[in-house]
Amino acid sequence: MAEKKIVKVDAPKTGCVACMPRTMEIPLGPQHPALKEPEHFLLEVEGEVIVNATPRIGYVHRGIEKLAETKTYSQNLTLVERVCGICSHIHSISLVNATETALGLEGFKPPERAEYIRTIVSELERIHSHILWFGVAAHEIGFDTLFMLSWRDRELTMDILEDISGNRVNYAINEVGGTRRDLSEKQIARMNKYMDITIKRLKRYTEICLKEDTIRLRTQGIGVLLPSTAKKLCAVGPTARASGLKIDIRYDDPYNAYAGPLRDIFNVITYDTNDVFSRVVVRLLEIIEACKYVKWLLANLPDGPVFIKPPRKVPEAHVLSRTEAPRGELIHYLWSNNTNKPYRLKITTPTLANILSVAEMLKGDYIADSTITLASIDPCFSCEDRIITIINKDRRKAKVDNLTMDQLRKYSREWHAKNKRWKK
Amino acid sequence: MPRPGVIICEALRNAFKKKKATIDYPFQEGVKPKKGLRGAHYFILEKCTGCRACERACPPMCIEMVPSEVTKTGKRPVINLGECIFCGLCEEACRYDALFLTDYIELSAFGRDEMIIYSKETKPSESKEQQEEG
Repeated sequence: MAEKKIVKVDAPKTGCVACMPRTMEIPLGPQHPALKEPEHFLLEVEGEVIVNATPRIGYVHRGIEKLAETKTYSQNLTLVERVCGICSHIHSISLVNATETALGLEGFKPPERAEYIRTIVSELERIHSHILWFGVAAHEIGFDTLFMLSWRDRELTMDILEDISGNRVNYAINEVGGTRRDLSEKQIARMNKYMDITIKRLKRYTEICLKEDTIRLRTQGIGVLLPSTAKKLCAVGPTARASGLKIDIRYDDPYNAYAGPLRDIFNVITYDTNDVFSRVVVRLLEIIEACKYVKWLLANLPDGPVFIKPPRKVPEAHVLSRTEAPRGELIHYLWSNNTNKPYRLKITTPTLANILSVAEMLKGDYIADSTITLASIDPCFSCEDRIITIINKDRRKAKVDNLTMDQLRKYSREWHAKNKRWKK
Repeated sequence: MPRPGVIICEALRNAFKKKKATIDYPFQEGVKPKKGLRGAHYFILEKCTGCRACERACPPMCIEMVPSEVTKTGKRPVINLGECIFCGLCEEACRYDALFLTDYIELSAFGRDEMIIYSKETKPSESKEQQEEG
C-alpha cells in the first residue's frame, strides 16, 4: 500500500479576513434552467452579492449572413424572418426597406397601402411580443397566475396574425414591392373588436402591476441602470426608455407609415425609476399605445394596390436600414451589386446592444435576483450571434493562426494524408 | 396605496367560468382560419408544364425536378415537406395553377422518406378516379 503524500499547506490563521479568498466565481450557463437560450455569464460573487459579471456570446452562430448571399432578395425575406422567432416580421421589414431604398435610385416606390399593412403587422407583433415577455417575467418572479392570464389574452393577437397572414409565427407577408396579402373588411372589423378587448385587459394589468405587492416587492430596486450608464453603454429600446432616455427609432428616424400623419399622435413612453419595475411599466404602456396605433392605421388605411412589380436587379448601393423591433433598434446593412442577390448583408440585433447593460445591471444584486434581471431586457441570444469564438482547453488564450490560401491548401493535403479514412 | 391580492378576484372568477380557454387538441378539432392557411401542397400533374418556376422560387430548395412522361418539358416537381418552410412562394410562382398550398397541417410522419410527397407519378386517369372517390 502506497503511503499517502503529505502536502504542506499554509493554512490561513483563523479570524484573518485578509487571507481568505474574498470573491468566488460562479458560472451561469450556457446550459442553465434560468436561461431559455445558451449564453454564458461569469458571476463574481462576494457572499450572496454579485460584484462583477462577464457575458460571453457566440454559442448559436448559424451562418445566416453567409447564406443570404446565395439567395435572391425575395427568398432572403423568408430567410431573415428566421433570425428571430418572436420579432420575425421586423427583420423582413428592415431588409425590404433597404432593398426598396436601393431600388429607389431607379425611381421605384412601394404603394402606400402596403406600407400601412406592414406597419399594422409590425405593431401587432410588438403587442404579442410584449405580452409574451410580460408572461415570462411573471413566471420568473414566481407569479404564475399572471403568466397564464396574460398568455390567454395574447391568443387574440395571435389569432389576428394567423387570419391575416396564414401563419402564427413566420408571417411571410412582405415582398419586394409591397405585401403579398390584402386586408378585407371582415378582418378589419375583427381586428378593431380584438384591439378593444386587448386595451381593456392591458389597462387592468397595468392597474394590477402598480398596486400588487407581489410584483412591486420583487421588481423595485433591482437591476438598476442609471440614465448616464445607459447612454454610455448604448442601451436601446424599452431598456433605454425605462431609464428615462427618449430613444425610439419610430420617432427619431421614421420609416413606413410612421413618417406620415401617425407621427402627430406618436407618443414615446418613458419611465424614471430605472429598475425592473420601470421596464414592466414601460412595456405594458407600450402595448396600449400599440393597440391605439393599430386602430388609427386601420381607420386611415389608404386605398390602392398592395403590390407593384419591382425590377429584377437591384442597383449598386450601400444601404443602412434602421427599424424599431420590440426589443430595440435593429440594423440591417445591405451591400447590393447590380444583381438579383445581395453582395453582403449585415444584421445587428437589439440584444447585442443591450448585453453590456445586463452586466452592469447585475452588479450589486443578489444571485436570486439575477434571473429576472436577465429576463428584464427581453433577451434573444440566438438572434445576436454573428461570430464564433475559438478558445483553447485552458479557456483563457485563443490561438488563431492566419494562413494564406497556399498554406491552407498545403495544410489540407497534409491533414487528409494523415486521416485517410475520414468521411463527411 | 398598495393593496395585496388584487389578482385573487380575477383568478377566482376564472376558476368558476364554464368556458375553457384551451382545447383538448387531438380529441377535439383545432381552431384554424377559414382560408389563407399555408399547409401541405396539392399538385395537379395534368396542368404542370415542367417550367421549373417553383424550383427557382423555393428558398430552402426543397423542390426537386425529376423526369416525367406526362409534362411538356419532361420534368415534374417532387416536394420534400421535411425541408419546406411553407412560405407559399412556389404557389405564387406557378403560372398554370398546378401547385398550391392547402389547409392540411397535420404532417407528422414516421420517417424522412414519408415526408417526400408526389415522388411516384400517377397517370392522369388514376388521379381523376382518386378525385371522384375523394
